[in-house]
Order: sequence, then structure tokens, then C-alpha cells
Amino acid sequence: MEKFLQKKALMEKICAFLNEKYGPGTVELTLKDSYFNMREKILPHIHIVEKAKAAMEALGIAPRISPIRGGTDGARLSFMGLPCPNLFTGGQNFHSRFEYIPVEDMEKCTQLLIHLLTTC
Amino acid sequence: METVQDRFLRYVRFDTQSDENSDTCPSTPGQRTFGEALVDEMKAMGITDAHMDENGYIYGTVPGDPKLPTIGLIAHMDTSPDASGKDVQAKTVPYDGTDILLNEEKDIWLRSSDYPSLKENAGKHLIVTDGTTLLGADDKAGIAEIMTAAQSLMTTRMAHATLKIGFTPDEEIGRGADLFDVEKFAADYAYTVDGGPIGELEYENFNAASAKVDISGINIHPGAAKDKMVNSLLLAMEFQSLLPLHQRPESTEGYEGFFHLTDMEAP
Ligand SMILES: [Zn+2]
Repeated sequence: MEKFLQKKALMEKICAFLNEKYGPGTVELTLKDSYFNMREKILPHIHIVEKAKAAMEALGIAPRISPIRGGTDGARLSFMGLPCPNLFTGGQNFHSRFEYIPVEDMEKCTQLLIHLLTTC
Repeated sequence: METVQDRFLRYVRFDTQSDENSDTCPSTPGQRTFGEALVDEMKAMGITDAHMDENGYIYGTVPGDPKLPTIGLIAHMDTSPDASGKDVQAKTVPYDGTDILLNEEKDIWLRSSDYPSLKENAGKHLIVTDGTTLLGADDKAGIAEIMTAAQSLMTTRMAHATLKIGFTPDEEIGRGADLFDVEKFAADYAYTVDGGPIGELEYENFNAASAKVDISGINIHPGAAKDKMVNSLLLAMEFQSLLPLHQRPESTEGYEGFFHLTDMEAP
């Protein structure tokens, strides 16, 4: 959060600098928050992450836990009161003409979902 | 029971590309067409409360043991505006670790030299495109996986938790959660099924803000410009040049944030 605030402050400083250099009103900056890190909303319910991790391990899938370098609907939903981590689909190269997905990984994901619903 | 693969291949034929320039919800009619087909399919499986709300969101319940927590599974129906999702020609190929010819006529290849993680999938069957459109695994794979799991729960004798299904429009243009009815959904917690490679599990994301920079220049004939002209295009470049070079998407990873220039236009 601190680095996020620093980035916004830097943009404001650049804006102020250019207005000083070229005259007031030359540059106008509009900053608008888009979304926030869902971590703080998930941590009180961290068992749902642990559960997904354990389910993967039970199915022989190695969990890869990493931050999303962007936003996700789950983050917004988490702030709306529905804690909502994100699970793999198996797909790769999203948003590209080179997108592909292994059939075997789709099957694994389906098994994972069934596992999550039947062992709780 | 229909396999997850067949289901997915059926879904990618729907063109559900979202459009950020549209003010309607869903932003494009194809999402509604796809949603209607999903509701029909859910009803046919016995999910009696399956329905689409006025904004094109799909909800449905697979009832389970009321003593267990109620779990939601969520995926999105739209595909990215970044690439065409019309007339997707998906095919399944057994992958032996060599490069894949996607389109013979146009000589388009899926190469491990461009996408090194491809190699990890040797021995699997890959669903690929013809190299002219996206595939739509983001996020029709999530939908196919949820639907297949739901069908399996509908027919199993095993005890299971109540499943709440939610399919949203317009995730790719950042509106998927806007009109999601969390209260009506009534799940204790949920998972989006919208991630990438197998094993991915995510519960942290970036903090993000959009920045719009309006620059007012002063236009004048270049021959008489001395001490008068303020070239807004040059000023825009100056603004950008004051941002740290090493904080761009292409030079950051993991927890490192970035400034990302997405658009520049002259009035
Ligand atoms: Zn997605």
C-alpha cells in the first residue's frame, strides 16, 4: 500500500513540476482508485486458501501461490463481503491468439472443484 | 455425462467479446446469448433455480448438506477485447514437445521458443486456436469446469456442500463485480475459477489506480512559434519520461508495481 501511495504521489509531483515549468493549468491529473489488494479481506478466512492448497496436494497438483499482477473480480467481491481467492483453469497465454489449454489440466481443475465441495 | 473438454469446445463457439465503449450490461449481446444457453443447460441438469437476472448475471444452486458451509464458484462469460473471439476454430492436438502448426495457410506456429512453458505440457492434449483469434479459455474453461463439477455433484451419492454458481458478464472490462448480488448469492465464501496454469492459487493482487493526464498546449504557426508554442505532444512525452524507467510492466515481476502507459491521444 505504501508503494502504491508513493506512485500516486510521484504522479502528482510531476504534474506540479510541469505546471511550474510551463504555467499553471498546463497539465491536469485525474487519479482514480481502481481496486485494492484482497489480501486483507482473505487473511481472516485464510482456511479457504489452506483448504484449496490441501485439495490440490491431495490430487497430486503442486500449488503455485503468487500475487496477481493486476486485478480480479474476486478482489472486488472480497471487498463486497464475499471472500474469494482465485483458482487455476489450466489455460495459458490469455488474451492472445496463442492461448491454449491442456485437456488434462481442465480435468484436474474439475476434480479439484468436486474435491472442494465434497471434503469440507 | 458430457466431458469438460466437449463442453468447453461447445462454449468457445459463442462470441462473447466484451466492449469497454458500450454502456449496457452485458456490454455485448453475445454474452446474453451464451448466458441463456448456460441457463438452459443448468436447468436440464436439474438446477431448478438457474436464472439470468436483468443485467445478464447467471445464478444457480446445487443443494447440499445444510450442515456444511455454502461454497460459491464464479467464472466470467466474456472474453478479452484484446483479440477477436469470433469464429474460434479450436482443435485438440496431442502434444509431443515440438512446435505446433496452428494455421498451415497463414504459416502460424505455436513455438516453445516464444512460449517456454509450452514444453511442460509434453504428453498432454492441447486445445489450441487457428492462430487468428483467442481461444477463450479465459474464462470459458472456468465455466466448463464449474458446469462439469456441478453435473457430477447433481448425480453423486456422496455428501457434499451446497454449491452456489455465479457467471458474470464483462470481467475483462473491469465491470464483472459491479452488479454481482453478493447477498442473494448467499455463499459463506467463494472461489473464482479464472486463473492460468495448473496449480495457480491466488489471494493477493495489486492495488491499482487509473491516471488521466490532460495537457493543454498552445497552437500557433510553427514559423511564428518562438516563445509562444507549447506542444502538448512533447509535454506528454516529458511527463512520461519523468516516470522511473525501471517501473514498467516489462521490467518488473512478483510484488514490484509499475506505471503502465495504455493510451495517448491528440485532441
Ligand atoms: Zn479471466
